[in-house]
Amino acid sequence: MHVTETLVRHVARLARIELSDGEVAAMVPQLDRILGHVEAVANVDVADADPASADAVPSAALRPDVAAPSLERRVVLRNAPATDQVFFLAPKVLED
Amino acid sequence: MTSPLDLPVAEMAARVADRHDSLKAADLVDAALARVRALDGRVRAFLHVAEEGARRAAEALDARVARGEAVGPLAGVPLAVKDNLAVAGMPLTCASKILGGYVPPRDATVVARAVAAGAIVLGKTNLDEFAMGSSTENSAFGPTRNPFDLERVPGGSSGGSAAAVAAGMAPLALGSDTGGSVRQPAALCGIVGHKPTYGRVSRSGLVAFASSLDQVGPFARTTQDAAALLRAIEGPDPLDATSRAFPAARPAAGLSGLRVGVVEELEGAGGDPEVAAAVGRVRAALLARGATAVPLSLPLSKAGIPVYYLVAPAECSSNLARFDGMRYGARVDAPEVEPLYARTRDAGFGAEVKRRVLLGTFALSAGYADAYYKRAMAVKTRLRVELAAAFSRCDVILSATSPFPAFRVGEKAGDPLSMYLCDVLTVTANLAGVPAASVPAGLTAGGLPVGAQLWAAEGHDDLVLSVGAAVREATGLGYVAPAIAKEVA
Amino acid sequence: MSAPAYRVIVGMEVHLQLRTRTKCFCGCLAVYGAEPNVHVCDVCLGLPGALPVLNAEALRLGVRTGLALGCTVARRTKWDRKNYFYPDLPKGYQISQYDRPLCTDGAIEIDGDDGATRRVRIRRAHLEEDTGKSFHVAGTKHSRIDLNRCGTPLLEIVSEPDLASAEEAGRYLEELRRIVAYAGTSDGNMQEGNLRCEPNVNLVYENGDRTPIVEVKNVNSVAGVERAIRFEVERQDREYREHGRTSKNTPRSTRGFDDTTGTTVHQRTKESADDYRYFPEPDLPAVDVDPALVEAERASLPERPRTRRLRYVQALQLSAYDAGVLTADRRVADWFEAALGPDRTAKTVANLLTGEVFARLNAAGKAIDAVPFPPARLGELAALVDGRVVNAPTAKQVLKLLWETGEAPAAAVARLGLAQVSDPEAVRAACEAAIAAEPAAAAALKAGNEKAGGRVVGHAMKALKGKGDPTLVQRTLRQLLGLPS
Repeated sequence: MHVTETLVRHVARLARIELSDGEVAAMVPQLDRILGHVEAVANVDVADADPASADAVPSAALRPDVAAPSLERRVVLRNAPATDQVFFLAPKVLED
Repeated sequence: MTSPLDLPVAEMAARVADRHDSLKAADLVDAALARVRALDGRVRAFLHVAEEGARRAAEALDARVARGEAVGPLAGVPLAVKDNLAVAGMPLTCASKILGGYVPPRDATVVARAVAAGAIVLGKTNLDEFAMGSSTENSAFGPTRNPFDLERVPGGSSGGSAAAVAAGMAPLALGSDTGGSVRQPAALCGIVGHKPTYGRVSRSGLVAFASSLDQVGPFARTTQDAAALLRAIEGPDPLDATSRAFPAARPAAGLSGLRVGVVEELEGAGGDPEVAAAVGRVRAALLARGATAVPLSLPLSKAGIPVYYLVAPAECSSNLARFDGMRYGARVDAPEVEPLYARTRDAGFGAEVKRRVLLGTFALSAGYADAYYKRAMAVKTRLRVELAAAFSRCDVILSATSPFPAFRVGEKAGDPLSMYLCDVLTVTANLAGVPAASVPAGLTAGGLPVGAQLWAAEGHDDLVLSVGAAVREATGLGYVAPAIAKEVA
Repeated sequence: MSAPAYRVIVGMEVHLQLRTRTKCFCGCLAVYGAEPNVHVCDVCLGLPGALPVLNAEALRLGVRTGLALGCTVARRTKWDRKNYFYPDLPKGYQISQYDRPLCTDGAIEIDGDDGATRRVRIRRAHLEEDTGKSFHVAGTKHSRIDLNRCGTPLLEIVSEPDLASAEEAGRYLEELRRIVAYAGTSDGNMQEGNLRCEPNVNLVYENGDRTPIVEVKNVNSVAGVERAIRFEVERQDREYREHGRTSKNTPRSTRGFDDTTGTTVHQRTKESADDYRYFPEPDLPAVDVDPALVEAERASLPERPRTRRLRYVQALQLSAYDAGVLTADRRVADWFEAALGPDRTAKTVANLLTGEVFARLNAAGKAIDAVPFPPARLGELAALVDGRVVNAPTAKQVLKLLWETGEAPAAAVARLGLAQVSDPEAVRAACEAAIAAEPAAAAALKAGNEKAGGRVVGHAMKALKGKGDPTLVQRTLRQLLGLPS
């Protein structure tokens, strides 16, 4: 895998991080070197890896359908960058 | 012994709990705060010191003792908490700008449990941003320094907690370990750090880095103290579906007949001769007291770093998606949602976090997920099986914790991959979910601590810690206070 | 050249809110219509460090719905994260199920457009959490976000593209809604968003060409689904004929339905931008589905509404209309069946229920559970009707008493002497008196004017105080007048 600027920009777009041109330029060789190292996973024979052994973890404990207190709205909105005291505010998005 | 802070935790707590004893929780908190004031300007272990809150909590605890109420096994013991664990009412930063002034509404389960056991939260400690790093240099608030040499790093990512304990500012600290973030700084700071079996300790209230690998673990000066903190925080939590109960502890093993695994692939990794020699001395001491050496091969451990640096970034890329400037934390405003996200996250995350988010996003993305993420998960599964087989042949594995002692601040800053390789001896335990602890194994000629790592099979945390105690007895090596700590009472 | 023939192909994705008390992964109440942002906790908010824990009831209702849809329930199921950014998705991912869904391979049956039974296959039904809601504030540049709905348990039910028209799609939705209502797993109310659907529509031409698949969003009613599909069919055919757009040269897309205009509007093209980066949810261990739970749910499932409806027609000899009315609501059908018995016909019970009882319920705006007497009482009344103990007007009078005082039908008939007069002597006397009293009408009847006969019958019935057996009165009159009976 050869990391290119195009790939870095594509991935940054998926991750919603607006990288500056300088950041992109710095990221290309770094990610290239890191990927070059981690690609070693390709050399491990996993043919006999038994996916069932990953299932050996016990089944999840479940929660009874019993109500627990919610947070007060004041607390819900307390840390938000923009609210009108009732709703969180975001720039315009498509309606549901 | 000049300060009650230097007592074993059990003794400290027992004295605080005894209403007839002169030692009060308030004395311990005052002593700890005095040390923080004296030392932390140089060490920079703390991001937030809860001076008022700690004093109030200590007074309340002392009042309960005075009323004859029972208090827990950590009564009055000052506790430093890594700042990726929520403490209600204290800012939670993860050493990142993106959390802005975020204050969580409730305590992490581990914090609540430690406090219920009587511990007093002294403050929040520095870390690599979102626990991503091995030096605590990736903090938006500047690096923490190693108390043994202020020009060097304390390790990471729980470097603040490790440095706080090593410098004597707190007898106990909580950290989190995803790929070595408790054990490696413990090694570099000459203290005990334990990474529990995955699921033994609740993650509720721990800001997730890589959820399938993260575990909260204790830092202390001795394995006994670490065990006391582990006892307080462990156990299933209805708020964490991955937490579970493990069978009662094995009786503490004597060294006689203890089978000590020596893993071919981990011997001399990193090549620092002083580290190899220190671990060799520990092994020799164990064998001299009746343990037997079991040579082992873990071929897949060589894939540990590649697997770890695919799985952990993949999970972190998803775990950190919630930092989007909508409900909490910093926001860089924009007229539309998409640029708001992208600018908020560019401005809020540091370089290492971005690198890992991008790496993980890539590893999960269409067209690459099979060759990277899924492949890594398959290797992880095999690694788990390989390690389980190894533990049918030995009781514990002994290795170094870190390939090298503390390095200089800035030494690895320009080379992310070399920083990643710090974790070469620690990631395997996370990938396999098994417990592992770092215990002090002496100092280098230059006076830097070296750690020995003990691993055991899933659930055998007590074995790890009891063998750690035996190591101390056998070698006489344990925590020694750094010179800086001797400056203060 | 005539327009090329095509087949319409529709598959449905339905999101069904399961009727739990609390949310899927936390203890907040899952309720509709509350004040904004009041049923929200650290888990719904995606606060750092908050972790999901599965609600056992969501799993049970998912299993039960799957079984009701004829699905196979997985022995072990797991969770995955679907990653995307949206302001009403707090964590930046939705907890869903990707490669090991809870339920697979079911089917339900509907009436096809050709009158035959059409089997619609269900590919899978998986659990996931709902998102919050965003509302654009008119005249401003921002949206308001309400997170109350975050984490409400959903079952996403994906059909195979087995529907051949807008009408079939509508019937599929109706049937699905009845099935889940019968199973008791969801309110299935489209207005409140308990049941949301996204039809996938395309056309296949005789020459093998296919139009690109369009997923239609924002449809809020069965009628809306049908309109949206009809609009899409016309639009896609036009695009094909006028611009040659096929799946080979045009990507799949998502369009939004506008209920006011009945049209769909392009939202986005499904290309590589849709990269959800699914991976196993590390915060939730896989779940072993308890076989005992599956068997208990299977054993307690009611008969499917369609099977019940067909049984009413075939075994009970009800009209298709009555069968449809009675089976539309499981509670009504259950009530109806509780009123059946060996000494009464289903038809008479159905008539009394859908006639007099429904009229009273409708007038009061009440549902079946508001009937103030047990079903067996209505059955007793039906038996009196079928046994010709009471006639229809009397039955109505008895029902009134039953409704208002609870008096048992047989007791009321005895107490008030309401039993039908079937004594041939009494009837004969009344009929003779009627002929004598209405000579003109009797003559007209004798001459073949059946309509005029009503007057004579009326007179006879009046003499019998309205309780005369109508068949016997008719027969006796005709005998007396020398007419064939």
